[in-house]
Amino acid sequence: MFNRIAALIQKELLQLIRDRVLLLFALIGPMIQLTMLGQAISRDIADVPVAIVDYDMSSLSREIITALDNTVELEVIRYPESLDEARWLIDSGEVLGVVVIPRGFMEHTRSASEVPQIQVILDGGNSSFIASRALGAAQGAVQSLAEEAAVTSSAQPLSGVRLFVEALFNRTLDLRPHTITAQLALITFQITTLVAVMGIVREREIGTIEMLTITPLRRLELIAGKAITPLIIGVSNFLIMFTLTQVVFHVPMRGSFVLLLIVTVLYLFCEIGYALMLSTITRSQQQAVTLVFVWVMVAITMSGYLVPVSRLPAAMQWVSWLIPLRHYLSIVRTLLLKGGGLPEISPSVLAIGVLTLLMIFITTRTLRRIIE
Amino acid sequence: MKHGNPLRRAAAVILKEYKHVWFDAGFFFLTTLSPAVLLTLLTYVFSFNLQEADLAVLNSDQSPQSFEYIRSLTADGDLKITDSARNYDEVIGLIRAGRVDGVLIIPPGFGGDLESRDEASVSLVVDGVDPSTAVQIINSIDQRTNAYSRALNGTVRIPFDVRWRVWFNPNLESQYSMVPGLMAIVLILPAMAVALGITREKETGTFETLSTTPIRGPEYLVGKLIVYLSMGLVGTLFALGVAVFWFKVPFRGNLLLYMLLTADYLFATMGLCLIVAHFVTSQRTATTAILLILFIPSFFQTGLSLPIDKTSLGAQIYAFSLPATQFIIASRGVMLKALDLTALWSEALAMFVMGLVGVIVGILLFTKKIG
Repeated sequence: MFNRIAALIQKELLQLIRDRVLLLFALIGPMIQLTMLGQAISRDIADVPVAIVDYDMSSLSREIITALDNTVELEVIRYPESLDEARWLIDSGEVLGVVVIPRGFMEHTRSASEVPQIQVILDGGNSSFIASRALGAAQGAVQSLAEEAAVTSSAQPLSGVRLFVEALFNRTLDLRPHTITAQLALITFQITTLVAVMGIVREREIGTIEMLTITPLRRLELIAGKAITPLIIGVSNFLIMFTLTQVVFHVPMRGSFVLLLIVTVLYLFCEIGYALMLSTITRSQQQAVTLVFVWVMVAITMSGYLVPVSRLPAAMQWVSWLIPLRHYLSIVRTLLLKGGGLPEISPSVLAIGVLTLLMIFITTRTLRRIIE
Repeated sequence: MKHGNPLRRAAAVILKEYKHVWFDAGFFFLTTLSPAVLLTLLTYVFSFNLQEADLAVLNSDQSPQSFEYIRSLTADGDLKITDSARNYDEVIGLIRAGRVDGVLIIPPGFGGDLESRDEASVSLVVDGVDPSTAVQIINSIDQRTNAYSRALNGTVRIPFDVRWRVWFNPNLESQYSMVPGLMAIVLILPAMAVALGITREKETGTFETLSTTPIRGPEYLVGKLIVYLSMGLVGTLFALGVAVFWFKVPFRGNLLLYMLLTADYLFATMGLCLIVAHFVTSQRTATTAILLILFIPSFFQTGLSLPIDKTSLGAQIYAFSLPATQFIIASRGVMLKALDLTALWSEALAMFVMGLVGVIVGILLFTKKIG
């Protein structure tokens, strides 16, 4: 039995080495991609460009401008004369927000009848995530200034609840570890799947699948043999990229590496199972590529890669259980970033195990229709 | 010119390609329908409410004030208390297991402090693993806590206040800005079809056959581009239909200008795909390459949801080299802000130059190969 599998593996590896470009992309492409993305990802929302229209030109308005500029999130880059001019700055994308301090602003703060207001205008045509961050920062800065002024004028301390925030596992709320772990999981998945999906359909298209039926290979042996090449590619891919995350990007590794490696191998088997299943139900390599593409899109959207699973619509959350990447992504983040162990990841590992068995079952059934 | 003029030969390629795309279900789907389908999927994915979160409470105080404070946080229904903790270890446990987005810790004496000293403190522990979510939760709790404090100070006069307005998107609906941005992502699919179309001919061997026909490299490539570009524009209309009629995203600008800019964008991405197609030999390698080079970076490096890092030169260059960066600005500009070409000419020019370079390099590479 092992001789037969070994022969098949030897043939598979020979075929792989012949497709140099794929090999290049499978091993070096991910490295370059991860490095470039990792370098270029911003650590935080900082220095969102804003403009200030100061109609008041008072000491108070200058104080407010300084307070806004001193926030981490905002940077005052322009001082347009009028709102029309500011509108042009927003249209051309030079600034994402405009703060308007009305005429007679300081004067009115002393009057008893009215509470003068500073207007904050934001470009809603831009990412709403950035907009809400900038808004929060502007509001916070102005309000704390107003409260200070209220305290000095009333000579009586303001009452209130102070909020202290602690971010677990990522004190500075650095965006990088989150994005980089996502890339690590996605790229490993994608490359392995694209290598594995050609397994059966290629033999079928060029007609060699009939030859396999006259060899003594059994169906499970065939599946095992076909799984080895993508597994080698997948594991080397994972190791290269994991090293990068540690050495170049200093992503924390708070859990056990051995556990991560074991789970990764199990996970790759699962993904290879999905790919071989797709391979047995397609008739041409082109169909297989199209299906893989759809599969990658589904995985990208519903696995928590783009948006946390808990924020997806309910129906998508259910579907996400069938996507191995969802479970693996949660395992990677639990082990690397949260320092969890087997108890925390066991539900995900169990899910991957069940999905693997399911795929082996389906693939052996569909394979029978092809070769027997 | 023994075999008619180049235009007629290009026309022959165009006719052949149209037949190809029309009769091949996979290619037809990829060029015309897939953008609309993917846009629907992605919009649902990104349609979550920024303010919503599940919280747990560790209330060591149990005073009436503490309950009142918690009620004021959850009054509008966006924040939900779904769990409770009895000690700090349980707090960590809840977050590590991902059961809640954050835990609010109300220390003993909270109510008393508020009565006697007019000031009390609470702690919020959030899961820092996903910083974007964490920041949103911190912001929404901070806002509600401030509102609660202000209500306590009913009699003290605050000298000034902030009023905010969001232009083009008054309710800060994430769909309004996401959908025009996502157009850039989904329109990579028709561009990818170019690379797949060419590598398919390489795989099946018809590429070599071309060298025996009178068709020259440029005619072949230009013919292909025209076909896929026009199919991509049809696909754009379908996707726009989904955006406007299904997701109710406003379209405030000029449709003709939008289609022109889209053609410009498709031109730029197809130019890149042409170069990719020259170097790869199989469709799966082409798919891998385009996913890695164009598709995935376009989510992260183009200002779609995260800002482009202004402090890093690498990030700036990377963003500039992706056509999606320009198109996201143009698409949002026309759809939401009704901008015209005077405000968007630099984006349009950048995409056009990229496309021109891509196509010329592509033609040079392929002419060598076919000829």
